[in-house]
Amino acid sequence: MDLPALGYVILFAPLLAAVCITLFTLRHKAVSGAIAVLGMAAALGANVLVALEVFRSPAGFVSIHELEWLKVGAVTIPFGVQLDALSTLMALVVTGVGLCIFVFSLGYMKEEEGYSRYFACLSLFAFSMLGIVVSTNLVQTFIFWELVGVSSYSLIGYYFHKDSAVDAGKKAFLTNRIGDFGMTWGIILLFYTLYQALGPDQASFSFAKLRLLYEDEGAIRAVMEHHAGTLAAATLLIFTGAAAKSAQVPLHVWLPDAMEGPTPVSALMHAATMVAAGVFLVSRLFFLFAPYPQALAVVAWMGGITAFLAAALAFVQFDIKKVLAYSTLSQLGYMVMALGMGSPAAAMFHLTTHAFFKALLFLGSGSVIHGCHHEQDMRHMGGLAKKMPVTFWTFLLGTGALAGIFPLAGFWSKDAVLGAAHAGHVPGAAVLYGMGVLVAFMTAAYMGRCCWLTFAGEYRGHAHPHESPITMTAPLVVLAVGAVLGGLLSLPAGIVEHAGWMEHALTGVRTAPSWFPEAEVEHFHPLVAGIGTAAAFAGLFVAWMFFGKRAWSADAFVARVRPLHTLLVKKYYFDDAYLWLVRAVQQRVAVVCDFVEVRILRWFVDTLAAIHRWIGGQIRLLLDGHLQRYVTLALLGVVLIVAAVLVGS
Amino acid sequence: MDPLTLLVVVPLVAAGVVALAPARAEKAIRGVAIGAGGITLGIAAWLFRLALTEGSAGLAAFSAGIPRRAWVESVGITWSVSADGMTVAMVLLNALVLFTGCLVSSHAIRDRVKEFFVLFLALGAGVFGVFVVRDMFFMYFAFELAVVPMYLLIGCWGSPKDRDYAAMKLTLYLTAGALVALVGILMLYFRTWDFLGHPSFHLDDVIRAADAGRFDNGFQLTAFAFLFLGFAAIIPMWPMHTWSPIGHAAAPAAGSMMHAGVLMKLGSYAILRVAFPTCPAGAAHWLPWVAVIAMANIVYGGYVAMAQKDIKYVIGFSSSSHMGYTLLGIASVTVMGVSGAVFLMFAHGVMTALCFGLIGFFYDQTHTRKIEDLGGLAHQMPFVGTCFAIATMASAGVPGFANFVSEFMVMLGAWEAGYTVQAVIAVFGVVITAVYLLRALANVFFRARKERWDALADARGPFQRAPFVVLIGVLLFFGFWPRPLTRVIEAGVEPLVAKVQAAQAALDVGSADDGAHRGEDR
Repeated sequence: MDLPALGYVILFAPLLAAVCITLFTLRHKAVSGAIAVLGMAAALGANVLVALEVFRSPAGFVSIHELEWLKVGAVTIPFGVQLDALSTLMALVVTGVGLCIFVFSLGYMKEEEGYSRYFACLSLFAFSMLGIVVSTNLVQTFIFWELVGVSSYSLIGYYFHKDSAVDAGKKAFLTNRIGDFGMTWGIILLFYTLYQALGPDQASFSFAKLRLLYEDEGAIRAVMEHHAGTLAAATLLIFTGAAAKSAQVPLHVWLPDAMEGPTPVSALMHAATMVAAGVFLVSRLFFLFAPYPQALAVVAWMGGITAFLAAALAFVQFDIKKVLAYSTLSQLGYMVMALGMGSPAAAMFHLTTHAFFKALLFLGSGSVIHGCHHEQDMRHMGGLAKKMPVTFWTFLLGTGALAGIFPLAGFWSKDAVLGAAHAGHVPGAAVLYGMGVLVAFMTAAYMGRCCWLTFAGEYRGHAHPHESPITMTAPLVVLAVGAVLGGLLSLPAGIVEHAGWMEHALTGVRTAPSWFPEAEVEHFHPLVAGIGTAAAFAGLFVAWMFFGKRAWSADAFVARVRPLHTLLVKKYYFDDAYLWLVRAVQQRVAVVCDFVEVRILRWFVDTLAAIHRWIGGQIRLLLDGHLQRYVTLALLGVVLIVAAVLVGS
Repeated sequence: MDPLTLLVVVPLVAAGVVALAPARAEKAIRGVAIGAGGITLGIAAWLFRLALTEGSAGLAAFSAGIPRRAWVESVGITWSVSADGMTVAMVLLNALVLFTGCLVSSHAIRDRVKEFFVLFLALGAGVFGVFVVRDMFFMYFAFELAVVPMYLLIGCWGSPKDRDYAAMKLTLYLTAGALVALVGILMLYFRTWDFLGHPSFHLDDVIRAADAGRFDNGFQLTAFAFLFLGFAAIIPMWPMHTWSPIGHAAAPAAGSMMHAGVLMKLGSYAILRVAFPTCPAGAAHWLPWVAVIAMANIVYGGYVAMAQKDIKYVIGFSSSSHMGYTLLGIASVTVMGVSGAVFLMFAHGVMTALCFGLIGFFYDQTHTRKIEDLGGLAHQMPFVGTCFAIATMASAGVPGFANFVSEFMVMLGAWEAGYTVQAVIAVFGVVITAVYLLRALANVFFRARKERWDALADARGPFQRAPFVVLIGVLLFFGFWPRPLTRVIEAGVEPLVAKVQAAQAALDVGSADDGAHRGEDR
């Protein structure tokens, strides 16, 4: 098969699975699960074939196949698949990690009532995500962007009898909608600015065409001069959409709540797919950001702030999934920061390794939760290392990777991110780099806390923990391999000379225009790596002192920083602020509008009708059936007419 | 008989047959009604295929082949039908809603079945009439043919609490709107009479007069105002919308389907069909104001929907909010925007028919529409719940459904026309929509199971499920592959838009000239 056909297989195999399950096998659990896994496996298989082709080709290789999806007047919106290093890599992450999660779900969801519904939604979700990945243009991306929102709504709200799950789904959908509002606006603004500046032939929604446009630095600077601000505004508006999906402050509030979904969903959504979409989109559209240092600075700072704020929140969580959720937020901040520092390659590298170890950690936590009979509170765990050895060891590897311990995957990618920050040129880059190192320290510390609380010491719960079945542990082992070896994807040039096609996978992810000085990722920075590693070990040490050796008391420490602790427990009051907006502003506007509707408009119309009814009633009084009165009135009429005629003549 | 006339005749004949049938023969009556709906759907599908394969030229040739039949020559009334891309889309919509409405009613209506179907079929015939005729008299006549059965449908089969009020209000508004528009129609009619030397209600004749320059700008300004205001009450444009939500709410399921699905589209259709080509200068003059009022529809309608406690009112106000997009698309006077508006009329019609069909399905069992009394219905009716979730997503403008494509086209069109602020507000309107729809969906179908509703029955068997499946299928099909429908619509819309655009250009030149003169004076 040729490349585009394989691309369509990648895209549509999961959709086909979803449709089959919905239409035919809702009542047959086992078949539904098998179909979903099969769909994903087909996508992965096609993807591997594509990868072999794409990564062997020279850098800059791209294969595009487009159909005309909508055409009105001079405006054409295509639909198709674009296969290049970036989309192939991303699709590999989605399908590879995704398949592990699908298999894991077979065991994890076994006793659930809506088993088939779950797999249908999961397949739909995978389809939506793959749609973003292989998309050829902005509108197609937006379509799948929203579909990801919808399918995540159905998955987060999977337990639809629980209020918390329903509300979490709603929150995720609406927060993403706000981001999408900006994105729609940005897309339209970008398109019509180019339309007016360069004419209908040049304006396009297509990535390839837009990129070509931006490749010509002179031309794009000329457009920028005439439309000062609009292009930058469009770029930042599109970034709003990315920020909402990738849960950047202040649009991050939906992500922790989204833990209401089944754990494999959290793994899929927060490791490999949904949240990665924002980073992927900015990488894809990096050429839009390239001419605007200010836009890049906004991106970098947003990422840095998110990384820091979220890492701090992870310390006060006791729900094991919430710790991981805030960790995801923080790591996403890292990626976005790398983007802002001008290195999409570093961001994509970290995205890839993160997908492996975060999926591993989430599934590990799922295994723990499963083993402890749906207990999520770490205070009721402990001592699980002996009872769930496979889960423990794989979780430990995941933690090491996340903390950035040599030679696990996270070490290399975190080094790339910190290296990009170190070499970055945005205003305050040095501060951001410092924050990055601090976050590395914090990451190791909160993950250490999580591990010690969960696996060390004595069991503090009331259930009978047991190791999970093979369908659940096997994906853990596979992902652990990824978490260990993921760094091979982009070993720095200084270390190995011939990393083969894998090295190419990352260097091919150059999405900046050729005139843009992209930060180098393949160079190893001994100093940066050393400082990062030192920070990580320091974090682990602190965690050990608090929760392993218990030499320091966490409670005493909390008591000393009470206001800060409250601030963290309240999640910086973001949720309260939004709630206030919804209750005090939005709902009040609604009530006022309703008042206008009922008390003014409807009242006016009804009064008008009432007046007529009243007049009718009065006239009716005259016609009450008394013959004498009719005759009198008739005579009066005759007299009046005669008088009028006489006077008139 | 030509297929277009058949569209009107088939439901009318079916209504006649049903009227003559004994009231006991309910099964046969349902069969006839569904059969008639099916036949019209077949004709509509045939028309759509014709439009697809042969394009607008094919449609024009097909229409030209249908003879005009003089009806009352002394006043110039003829029976003349024709079809362009816009007609095809609307006819398809009406056939879909009529057919699925018959299916839904066949189990929902238990009481006075015969009378119900007589009226319902007459309503369908009236709406088909408005869409296919070229004669303004018959357009008016067909419109009234649709309104009167609607009055009776609400009044007799509506929800007991508010049906009298709702039926009266709806009828008064629609009739008053039509009367105002009639003034405009008569203005056109007499001018055309002057031009031709003989009377004619035929739209082609009126357009000929317009093209010959017989309608000066002042005349067009007045005539367009009458036509637009009259038709806009039917859309309904803010603030003439108060009849609509209550009309939705009180009507029986199939009545709401027809009402929100098709009846409301007659207003926007008539504006494009009659007012655009005959008074292009009037349109060019007034439409910028409409673009502003459309915002009131979108935002105000959305916020009022947010405050509602009755599920039918939520959908009712959401309809008037969505119609803001139609108005904005029309006001943009770009091929993109107007095509989007027509596409939205289609998509919204299908979506809202689906919504009301589903609400009717559970309302017939719960006898309450209050959101707080409902809740957790997905436990008892998973199929209906899934369908409603899908309808909600479609309504909220989620991609994959036709509604998204059409609203996106409207936004693009508005931007292209320079209504950037409006376009941004329109984009934001999608957020508002999502807020109230998701809230309604969650509070009616999700959350804890309520034992009170354990006796509810889900839609079972192909017969009960078919209408919903058909409507969802249509939304998904055109959502994933909009090209066929937009191509057909675009072909119909283009000449209308071109006329108004030319008038716009002329107005701009005129005002520029004025400016130049004034400059010279100084």
